[in-house]
Amino acid sequence: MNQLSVAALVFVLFLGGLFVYVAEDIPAFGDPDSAPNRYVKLFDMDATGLVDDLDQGVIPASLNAKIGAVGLPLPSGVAKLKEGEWEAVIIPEETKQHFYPKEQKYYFIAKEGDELWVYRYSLYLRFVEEGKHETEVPNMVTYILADYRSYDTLGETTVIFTAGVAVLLLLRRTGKRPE
Amino acid sequence: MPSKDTDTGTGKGRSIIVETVTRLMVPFIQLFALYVIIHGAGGPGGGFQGGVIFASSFVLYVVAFGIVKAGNRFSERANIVLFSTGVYLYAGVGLLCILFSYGAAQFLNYGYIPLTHHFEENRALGMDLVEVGIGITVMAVITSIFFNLVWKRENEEIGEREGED
Amino acid sequence: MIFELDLVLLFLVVIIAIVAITTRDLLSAIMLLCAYSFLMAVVWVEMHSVDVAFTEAAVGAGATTAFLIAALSRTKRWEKK
Repeated sequence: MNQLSVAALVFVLFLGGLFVYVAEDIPAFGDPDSAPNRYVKLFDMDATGLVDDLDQGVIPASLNAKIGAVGLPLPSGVAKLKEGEWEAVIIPEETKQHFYPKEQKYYFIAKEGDELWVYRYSLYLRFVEEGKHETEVPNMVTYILADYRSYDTLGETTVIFTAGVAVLLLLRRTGKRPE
Repeated sequence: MPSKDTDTGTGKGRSIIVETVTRLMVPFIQLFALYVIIHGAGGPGGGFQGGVIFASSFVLYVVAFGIVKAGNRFSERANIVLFSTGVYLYAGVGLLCILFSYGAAQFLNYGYIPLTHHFEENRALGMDLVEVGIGITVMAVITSIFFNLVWKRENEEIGEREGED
Repeated sequence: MIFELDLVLLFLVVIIAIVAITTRDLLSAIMLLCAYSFLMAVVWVEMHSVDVAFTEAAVGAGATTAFLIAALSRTKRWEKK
């Protein structure tokens, strides 16, 4: 075994060890509640006097101001999930009803001690929850690839087309063809 | 090089068994490929996988009958036409959405193609059309790559053979 | 997903990869890569992602092996030592 393959073997073993060491910190990909899949933390604010507003479904002005400061659209309604957890939704205007679901889940507000943590729901939530209803297609991979992200797939098909043309130009054998 | 004694009169040492089996199998491989393309929605598979399987039926044809017959059967001109047909179909379906909705819908929002009365089902059918487009392009590309790779080789053999006889 | 089966499959995949690299006969290297693709397809199915498995089987074993053999027909079969 020459020098190269020994070095390659050692490198592969090192990578394997590194992966095993890191593996337990990676959140299980399928776990619906891990941060990247469910929601991403925006900011936190003190919860003095806001809790009962939220319970009645009224959006406190200070929360709106903070969300506006961050630059995200303002929620149009708050629903109480369970004790200390709320969910702010945005209802799109009438004209765009077909493009977006009836009410789009936008923010998730959780009460931590005496603070309110405001999260932004991640985009995949809409694919996962609304997808099957919106596209009547059972296979999630297909409707994400072909419908929600069909612009990417159009680009991908163009890449395949370009690869074909490139190979055609390079390898094409013109001249004598035994037709 | 294929030795002379296995030459059963079909040219360059192609055995009869391989040819008849291929003649039987190729249509069924293509049928399965079409099934995979269309059933991208329900089960696994889709435009890309179906296109590759369709191309593998041509690969089998080349292996059995040789590149010359395959070249006659699926000419390079038809192949080149299919290259862009798939992409045009894909982009065309996207454009249809804008046309049918008189500018209201975005590009590639299949709900507005009036195939059925329900918005959701239009999206599902639009996706199937798009998968067919992908299948056509992928099939044409992989077939042409394989033909070009093999084509040069056969040509040289023919050249050498003519030199010998 | 059965952990033991995954372990065995992945171990096999690693062995096939190492042998494919170290062998001198290019044709057998291509065949090993074809087997590698099929085993990877089985591993994908084991991890419940059937679309990827389908693609891996169709492209990895089907198209890539055909291309490699077509490319091999242009070069010599034995790697120079």
